[in-house]
Amino acid sequence: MDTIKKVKRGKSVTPWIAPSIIVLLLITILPTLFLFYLSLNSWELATPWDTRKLVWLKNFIDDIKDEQFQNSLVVTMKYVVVVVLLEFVFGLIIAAFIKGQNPGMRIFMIVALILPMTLTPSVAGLIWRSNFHPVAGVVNYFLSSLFGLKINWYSKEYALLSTMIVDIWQWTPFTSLILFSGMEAVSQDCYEAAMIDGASSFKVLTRITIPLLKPVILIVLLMRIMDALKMFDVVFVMTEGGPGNTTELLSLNIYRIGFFHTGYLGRASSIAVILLILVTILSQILIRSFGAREEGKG
Amino acid sequence: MNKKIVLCLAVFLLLSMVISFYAMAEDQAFLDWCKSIKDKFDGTTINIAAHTHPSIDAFREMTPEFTKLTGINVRWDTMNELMLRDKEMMEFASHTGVYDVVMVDCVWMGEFATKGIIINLDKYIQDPNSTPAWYDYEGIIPAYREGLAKWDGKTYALVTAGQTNLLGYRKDLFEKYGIDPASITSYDKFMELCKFFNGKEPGLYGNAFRGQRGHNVLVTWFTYLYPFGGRLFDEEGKWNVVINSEDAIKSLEYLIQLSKYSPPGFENYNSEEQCAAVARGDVALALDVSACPPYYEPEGSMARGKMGYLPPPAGPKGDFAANAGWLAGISSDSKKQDAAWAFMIYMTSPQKVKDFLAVGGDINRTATFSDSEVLASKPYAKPTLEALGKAYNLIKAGVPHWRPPIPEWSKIGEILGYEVNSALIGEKSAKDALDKAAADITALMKEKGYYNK
Amino acid sequence: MKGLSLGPKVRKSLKRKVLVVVGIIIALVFIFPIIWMAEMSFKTKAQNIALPPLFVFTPTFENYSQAIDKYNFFSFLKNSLIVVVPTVLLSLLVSLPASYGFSRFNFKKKKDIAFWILSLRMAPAMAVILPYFVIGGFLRILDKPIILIVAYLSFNVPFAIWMMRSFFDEIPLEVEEAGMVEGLSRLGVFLRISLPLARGGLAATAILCTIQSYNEFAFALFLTSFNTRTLPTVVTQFQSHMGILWGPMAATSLLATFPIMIAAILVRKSLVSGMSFGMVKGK
Repeated sequence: MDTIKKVKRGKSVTPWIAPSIIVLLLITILPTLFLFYLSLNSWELATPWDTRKLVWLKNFIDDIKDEQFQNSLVVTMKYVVVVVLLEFVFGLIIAAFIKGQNPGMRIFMIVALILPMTLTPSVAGLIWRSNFHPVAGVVNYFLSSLFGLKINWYSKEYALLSTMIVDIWQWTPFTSLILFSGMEAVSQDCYEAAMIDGASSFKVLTRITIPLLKPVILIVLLMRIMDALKMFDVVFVMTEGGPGNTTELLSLNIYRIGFFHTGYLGRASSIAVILLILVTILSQILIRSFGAREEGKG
Repeated sequence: MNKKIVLCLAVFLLLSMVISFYAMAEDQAFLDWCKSIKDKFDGTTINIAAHTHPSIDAFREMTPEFTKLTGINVRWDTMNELMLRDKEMMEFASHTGVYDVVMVDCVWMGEFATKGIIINLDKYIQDPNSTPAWYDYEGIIPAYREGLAKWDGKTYALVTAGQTNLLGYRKDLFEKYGIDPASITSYDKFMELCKFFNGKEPGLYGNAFRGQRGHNVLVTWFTYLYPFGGRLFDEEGKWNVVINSEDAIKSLEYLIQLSKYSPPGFENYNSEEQCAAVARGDVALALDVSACPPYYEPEGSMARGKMGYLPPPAGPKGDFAANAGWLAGISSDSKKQDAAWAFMIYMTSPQKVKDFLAVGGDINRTATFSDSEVLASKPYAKPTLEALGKAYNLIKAGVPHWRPPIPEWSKIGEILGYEVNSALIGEKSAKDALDKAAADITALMKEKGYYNK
Repeated sequence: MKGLSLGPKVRKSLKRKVLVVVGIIIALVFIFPIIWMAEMSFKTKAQNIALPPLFVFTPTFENYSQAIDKYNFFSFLKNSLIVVVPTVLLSLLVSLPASYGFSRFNFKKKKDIAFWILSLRMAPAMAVILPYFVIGGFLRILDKPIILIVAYLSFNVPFAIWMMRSFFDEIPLEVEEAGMVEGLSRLGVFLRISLPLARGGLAATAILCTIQSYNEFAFALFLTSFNTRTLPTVVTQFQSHMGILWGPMAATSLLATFPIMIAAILVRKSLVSGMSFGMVKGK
């Protein structure tokens, strides 16, 4: 017991973790401070550094007044909520599904699920842009031959949905695989006890699986929410934010203002700061609830 | 009598000998020049920032021969045109000097010239050692040479892909329904035919245009703006924004009406999808830029050999067409500017026009239009010339630039591209969208000090 | 041994069959777009825009030779590897000791520091690209592999620390204790005992770091231009003014992703547990 304590405590932890902390401080804190500084300035792309002007909070006031920024905020929220919720629900169903399969099918499904995650997102976006083509795309081809349905995926009504579908396609595998291995880890006895009690599978899911999986669910949600908030490449190659601004997520808004055809680096930085604050608050909320679990776990 | 004929014949023979000798000498001069370049720059590598475009594909095809003749190696960095500008600006911002030749859209000219991203080329053009006689600088189409390549009276670039508008139509469908394509002389007729063909056959729509937010929809709408009497500014120099005039609103409403006879998804169509729609046979008509024809009829496509071309029709308030295009400039950070210049004049030289056209390039020189070989093999050559006449009409009507290449253009384009797309998808009325655009552009111009002079 | 009657048995086997069929359908939904992309890579330009979409056709290998010869696949692959290999090695070098420290030591504010590190992974790329670009310009390191390596470290290191920590957590303390009793130093225990025991996790971590860096688009697009351009940004080369070159694009993407796919499938078990930072290990 004594030695174990010794193993656990050791003498000095500094040499073990200090290098990584120094590296992280250098490569993340410095740019972040710089970002804050930029956000207080008015400075345009490809003009000399000396032409910047300190304007304090003007950029932030402009942001809040800007219709397109407000719109981006709403679109981002919609995107994150829908995408994460559906990925979670589908992930849960698919995970339960894999669990019910024989070993051969399990491997087949796991392999099938791993593949979308390895595909470069920008390529996935382009491929899906062609799949969603209202006239010549495969999606409408299947829809119309199976259900006689033709949807204009490029229209303002469906463009956002089409980008969400791509995210769901690419990242539901992530949620299902993690939830699946979470379910595997939950002791089989719990299930059998429930089965004997004659509980329906829905009851098993809500009363047993989900509570036992809570830590896993939290980490899945955390990772997916953060990634969905950051989404850029897929939407960029699919719609470039259009039509109108129906698919203009915050990260696209930053890009449009900071680079693209405008080049207001200061303004763009201020939006980036807002996004950063948003991400930090959300992740803190999730991490706290997640941390509370971990403490309980001991 | 006989004597006269003999004399005529002799004169003719002599003349043709002189001409052919002259031509030979010219080719020899060209080859000599290549050799002198090789002596100077053998083994040099130049880097080129380019957009994906038929003309660039053509240049890439011609590059191996260029390298063989001049000893200059060429590396191409080709990317989506929308990213090219960011890329070039960012390279300039940090003065990496990675690129030697940078491709420039004609509307970036003011911004690139005033920020000093590309250099003034006059010293090369005026120096006979840099620009030998065989290059025939004056042979470049004047609208391009004078209208696109200059900023503030100085030349900053060479035209590589001049563009105007062309109306493509399906010959087979016109024949089938007994319609004379020559009857499309007005925009009313154009609309009428789009309506006529829309749904006439299963899966057939009237026309296809680029409707994607930003650059694409903007270029589409500008095609209609001028013939309907609309203008962006009342006058270059005064810069009063008149983009929400009644005529401008009418032209946008026309485009919205036209979209009713377009395939679903037009609001997100880029060039790719617009050209593919024509190639697939989805549409009977298409009015877009003159670079499109090779992409309307790719090998094995449904529309192959079935397309006819016309200049754009006349509008109610003028007979105008676009004057636009891509150019090549030399980066101010480049350390190999002379080699870059050699590359540029080689690729755009009269000696290489035929090679360029054969691999999908554009027509940039006046003489090309009188070349019977070109006229026979490229059905769009003659209509392009007619369209250029219409582009010149616009200059004569007091609009020197189809899109003003002022440094603020990109920002103006962003505003317009967004508002026009919003109107197209019915988020706003044409009037509301253009009123908002006018207010935003006026605010921008004010901020940049245009009204203080 | 429930349900001895025939009825439930038949029902059960029917249920199994339905399960298999539905399972195959679900799998197909996820694989189909990739199969479709593979088909694209063997089609000509006209076949790729055909209506209705072609499912059966005579394949052409033209796209692959174009991807390699005309679009310099291997030079972009080389660029990617020049960035990715050092990124992954450095990430592991920096994060391995740290993850071991978090797993094996108790110290003040341990939890806070761990969560701070995790939160760094969450920073949106768009928010840090601007300062990276500007600072990179000042330091004259734009378009050099080093800037991408540094940028990629910023999300790989936190990720690797958390992931490896979960693998070290799995190693029973008793094993290390035995090593210490035999007179190994702390470092010796780490190098000789713990690291070899966690090699499965190490492989999975390395692969996930590779996928993240290899597929990264935004940093690569904005911080590099000519000399360091990596594979994901090559797609912009196929997105042309007049048309997307579907064939060469699909061929390039498949060539690029294939090795990653195989590697990911091989280490799938550690991959899945690692992605959840060890949260699923039956605790």
